[in-house]
Amino acid sequence: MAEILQDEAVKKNDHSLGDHVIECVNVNKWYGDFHVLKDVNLKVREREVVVVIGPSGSGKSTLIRCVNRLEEHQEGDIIVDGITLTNDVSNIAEIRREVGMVFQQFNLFPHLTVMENITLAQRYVRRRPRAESEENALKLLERVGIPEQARKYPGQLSGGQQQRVAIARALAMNPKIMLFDEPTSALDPEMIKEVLDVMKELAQSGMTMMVVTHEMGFAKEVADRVIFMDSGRVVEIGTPDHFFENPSHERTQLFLSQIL
Amino acid sequence: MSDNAQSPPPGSDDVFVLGTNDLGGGRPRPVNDALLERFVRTPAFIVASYAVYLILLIFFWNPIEAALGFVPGGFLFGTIGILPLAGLTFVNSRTRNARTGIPFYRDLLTIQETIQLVFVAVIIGTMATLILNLNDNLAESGLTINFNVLARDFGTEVSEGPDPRADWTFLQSIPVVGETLYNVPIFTPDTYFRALAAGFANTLRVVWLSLIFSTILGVALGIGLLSNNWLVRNVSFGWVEIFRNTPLLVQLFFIYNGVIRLLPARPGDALSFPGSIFLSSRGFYYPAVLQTPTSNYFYFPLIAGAIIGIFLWRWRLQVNERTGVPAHAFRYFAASTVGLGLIGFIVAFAVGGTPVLFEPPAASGFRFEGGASLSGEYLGLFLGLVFYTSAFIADIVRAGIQSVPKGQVEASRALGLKNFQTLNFIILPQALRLAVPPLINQYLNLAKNSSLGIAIGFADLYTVANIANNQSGQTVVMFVLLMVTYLGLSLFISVIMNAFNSTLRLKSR
Amino acid sequence: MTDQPVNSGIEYVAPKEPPQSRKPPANTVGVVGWLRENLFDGVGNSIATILTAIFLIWFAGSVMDWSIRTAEWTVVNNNLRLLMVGPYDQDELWRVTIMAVAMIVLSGMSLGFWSEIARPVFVTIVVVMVLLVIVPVVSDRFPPPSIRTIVSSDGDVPAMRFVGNPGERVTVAVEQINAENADPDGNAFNGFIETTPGASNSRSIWNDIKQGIRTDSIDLDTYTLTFTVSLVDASGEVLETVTSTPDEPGVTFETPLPETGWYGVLAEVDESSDAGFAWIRLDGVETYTTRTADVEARTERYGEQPALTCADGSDACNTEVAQRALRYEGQRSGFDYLTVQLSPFFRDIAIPLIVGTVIAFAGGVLGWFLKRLPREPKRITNLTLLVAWLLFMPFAFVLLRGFEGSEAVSYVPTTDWGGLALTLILTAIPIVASFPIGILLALGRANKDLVMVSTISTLFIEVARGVPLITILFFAKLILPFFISASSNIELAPRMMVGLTLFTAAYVAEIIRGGLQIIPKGQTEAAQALGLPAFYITWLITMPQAIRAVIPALMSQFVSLFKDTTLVSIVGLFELLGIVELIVNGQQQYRPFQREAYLFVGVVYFVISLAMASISRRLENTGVGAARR
Repeated sequence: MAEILQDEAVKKNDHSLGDHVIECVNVNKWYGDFHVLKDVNLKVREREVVVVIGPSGSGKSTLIRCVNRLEEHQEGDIIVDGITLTNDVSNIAEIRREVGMVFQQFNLFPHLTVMENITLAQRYVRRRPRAESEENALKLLERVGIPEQARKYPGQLSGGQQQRVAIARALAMNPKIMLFDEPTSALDPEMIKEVLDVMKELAQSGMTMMVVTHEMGFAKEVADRVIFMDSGRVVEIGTPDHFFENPSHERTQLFLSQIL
Repeated sequence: MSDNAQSPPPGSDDVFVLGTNDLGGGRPRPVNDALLERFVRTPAFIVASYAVYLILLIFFWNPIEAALGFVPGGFLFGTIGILPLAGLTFVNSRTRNARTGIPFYRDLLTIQETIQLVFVAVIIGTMATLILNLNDNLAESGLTINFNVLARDFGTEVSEGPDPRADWTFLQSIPVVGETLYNVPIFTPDTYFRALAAGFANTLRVVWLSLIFSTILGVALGIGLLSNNWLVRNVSFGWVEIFRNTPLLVQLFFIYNGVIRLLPARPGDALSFPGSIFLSSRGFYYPAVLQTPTSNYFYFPLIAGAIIGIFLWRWRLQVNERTGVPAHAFRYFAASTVGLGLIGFIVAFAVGGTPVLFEPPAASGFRFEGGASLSGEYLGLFLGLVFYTSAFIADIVRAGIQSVPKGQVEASRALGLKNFQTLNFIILPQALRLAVPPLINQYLNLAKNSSLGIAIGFADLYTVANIANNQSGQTVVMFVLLMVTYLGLSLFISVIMNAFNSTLRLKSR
Repeated sequence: MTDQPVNSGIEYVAPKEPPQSRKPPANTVGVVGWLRENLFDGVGNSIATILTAIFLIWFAGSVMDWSIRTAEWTVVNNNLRLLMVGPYDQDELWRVTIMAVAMIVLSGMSLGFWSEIARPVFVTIVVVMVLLVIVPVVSDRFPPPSIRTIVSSDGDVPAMRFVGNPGERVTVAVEQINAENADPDGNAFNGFIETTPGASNSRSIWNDIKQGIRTDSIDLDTYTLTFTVSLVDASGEVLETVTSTPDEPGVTFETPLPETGWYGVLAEVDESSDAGFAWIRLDGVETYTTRTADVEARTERYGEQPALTCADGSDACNTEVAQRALRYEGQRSGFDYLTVQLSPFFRDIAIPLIVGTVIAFAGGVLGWFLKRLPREPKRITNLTLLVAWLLFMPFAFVLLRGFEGSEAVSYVPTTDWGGLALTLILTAIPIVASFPIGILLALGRANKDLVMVSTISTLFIEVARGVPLITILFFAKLILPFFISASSNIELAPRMMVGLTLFTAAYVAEIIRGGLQIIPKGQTEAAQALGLPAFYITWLITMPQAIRAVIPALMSQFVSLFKDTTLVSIVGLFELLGIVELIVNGQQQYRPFQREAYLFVGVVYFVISLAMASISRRLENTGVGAARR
């Protein structure tokens, strides 16, 4: 069964999956006394695209925010690229260099131009010279389709353009893994496609991606695997075909019947 | 359902189905099982250990100093001061790192705690150095800090205020505004403490009246700023800009030296207003309300009427809520107060004469006889504070009212609410929510600005403390007293206003 | 429904030609409409308008009347130097000039570079400049006020000395003082009275006369004065003379002056005179000032002042028509206001103000060009300008202070600083110094991970904000030096700067903390996700945004600091307000003019505060603070 699933995944994205780069082992997290993540177990392979879906408040966002230590988990282990996430400052710094993240609200820096947004981390974290960073930034802007907006401020761009800049900003760090936290939820309907197209292109290029989204179409089309979460638990993990056509868990079936 | 579930093949990492339908089952947050670590991190333990440490330190200080062989400087104090905290950090770091296996220099928490330790050490060290220096230097100048100075004899006069040695007669006449804080023209308090107390009473005397009047004037100006009458709006605007953009001290000098002091000094030449009110360069004179043997027959019913009125008010609101009958709460309140007051007044007459006796001031030679008065300095400071603060309050009121969206007023009109109801139920609750916090700040500023009375010779706390300092040289004592008193006053005002603010929030949530 | 024609189905069709749009009713537009809407909208509103208008007319009228006819603005005019620089060494004023010029250039450049000068401001400046030039020129065309000295039987008669040019006509007239024109409550005349400091002067005699009339102890009915009045030139040669006798006291002559030079009016009282008083009135004589530079210029043009002798041979009665020896009496007319009060003031401030404005304008134009530079040079200019401002403060301080033992820039202790210059320094240095302290305190307080750091920062901020500024200045004056040594001789001004800095830092910290709080959490998270270290997150992401968000609040805090510098006058520094106190309390002749003096400094503070506030508004709208999101 697993082999079949894996074959399908290979067919879909036209590249082979590698070793595990994200491993969550019995991860538990509380906000105060509220239990947000309950015994989450999860493994993501290199070059794999994993889509996390689930109702609001199910802990999807918290999970991927734990992966680059924006949130601290209290129990269990999260191992990213072979590094265990702890209070160790150098580990945290290393993981954040290797993991890019795209946010729901874009979180572009409004006081910096698009170009400065993209070059900032390259210069201060990767220590690249300014010229090289800018060259790199222009390439990425071309890749996401908005090279002409480089000198503008984020406030002058549309939501879709801003989100594409945010993707470019994350890519500029040459991350091994990209995390997407509901990248299209804050967008007007006609702008969603332009962002999803960029993400699809990224998936095709073999980037390891973990995506929290409500875009079922994207999940069906691009994902290697779909993870369904509810009430802080991982309810079901499976290939998109299997997941959407023939969900196993009662909760999953209920969820899918409500949204489809 | 679970029998239908296709369980993933064992050993597979890639697919998974939760074995149960019970998605609840959260656990409480795990408590740290290292009991020692938990105990050591409690604030009570930290405080207690510090207390023990300090007591031990004081107890054994002489042997320690002898052992050291020199008098420790500030930075040694800094180091000594953080020892328990440093120990705590060390223990924490060890227990934590023993579990996670991170070297301490890479542990985020340890790094933070170390930064904090260094900071605290530097602060304690600097403070200790400065205080040691201060102590030595003061001793060298023969000005050793001595809090007993407060009991010493204060040889100078205080120009006005309640004399703490006099009978506290003002308590008898609280209903009457002018006499609330019984005011003696010039007196000699016997100790520093009493002089300072008189100064503080003067500060309060000027602060509370200015608070009330600056609020009234400020609200009026704020409404004026929003008037749809062009002239009223611009006159208010001009007033606000002029008083906001010039220093209070300049205003005080102008009002006092440029206006009040240039008035005629002799009572015979004083400006007189209807109702036996006089204004001269010495001060403001107005009729005093005297106590008579029958006063209580009038005052007690009046107060009782007001109290009953408050209950009536609340009862009417309840009736209104239950039945929908218009509340007319204020009418009931007014009827109760005025009615009982009137009855009391008549009774007082029946029993024996008028309950309220006015005593107008009368010019006689170089001063006024009888009546009540406010000194020229008081008047100057009062006017300055009112004009200055009201300009700021006006702007706050304007901003508060403007913050209520126009749609709110339109919606309320569309519902058929009258102007008064719109103001009372829609605009004010929303405007006040925004206006009260900055208003608190302005009240605090007013209280603090009252210390500028020294510039025009008003005998407030700061002025008296300054005299006391010049006499005794006890600068540090006076500074500590000033600081504590003004901080206390600020705290008092902000506690009261914050309580008001929170009831407001509760009501208009 | 049934009533309508069933077959049509159409109820209304608009005509093909759209109707002409009509004008609104006449009483809702134009001046009438404006008045209706803004002033007379309903009964209550009309009453409010009328009451306010009556109040306004009364208030403005009495203020104008006072300031033109009664107020004595010479207290400002004669003390301009003190008001601007205080007791600063006169020979070293070039340093203040350098500082002022540097500051003006920098301000102009900054305004041009970071903002733009609004048209109303520009128009105001131009109008003020034109007025500054026109008023003195116009006022020169009006005759100067009369100047009077008293002739009495028992006093020396002053010899009034003045300068004149060929063709100018001088009128000398004698007026007997009798019960009628010496009415102590009436306004017998308008014009200058001689009041030479120290000596028994005409004004004191005149006051004695008035007092005598009040108490009926003087007899003005007997008048036996006989005296000659003559106009002489610098060499003492008599040009014109006339004799006043008891029978015909009111004699007069008018004569043109022959050449450029000094002249004098002498009077010689006859032995037979033993009672009565008379005025000698000079018309057409210009008064002059006695400032060093003016005296030199006058000597250059008219020669040395001649020593004219009195009738009795002494030279003690030599009197000048210098402004400091004259006092205006009586109600002033509008023309006299212009010539006596406004014109000298404008003449004094015109050149510095015009030069300053031109320099500022040049700086502004430079800034305007720099603003249009391409990106990279613009960035550098931006940085350079900031650094220039930062360096300017210590530079100004050191320049004004000088070095001990230095010849070129000798040491001027800060106790000799004063006036507006000191006010500006006391504002500028705490602004610059409190900013970094405030940022650190804000970060300390906002950092909830480091409990002790945040507690200590909070404690400092709340204590500094909870006590009056004057208490902190008290601390800075009396306790601060004891932290260092028992006989510390740190000057008062730096101590006050420390006090003002600590005080302002607490407020700045709270403002910046407010700014930090409104930065969305996502900004920090995005920066963290990019791997930026904590320092860079603060320095590059949150702090710039926080500061931009609170520029208006910061500016109003700095305006408040500017106003609060007046408090140092209480602890004994002579900044603008302190120097005014010194002038009105220290110089006898200015004591009655406190209103004028305080009003003047009030206006100075008002104008500068308003300018700072408007700069803040412009920064908010157009400059660095403009929202770019």
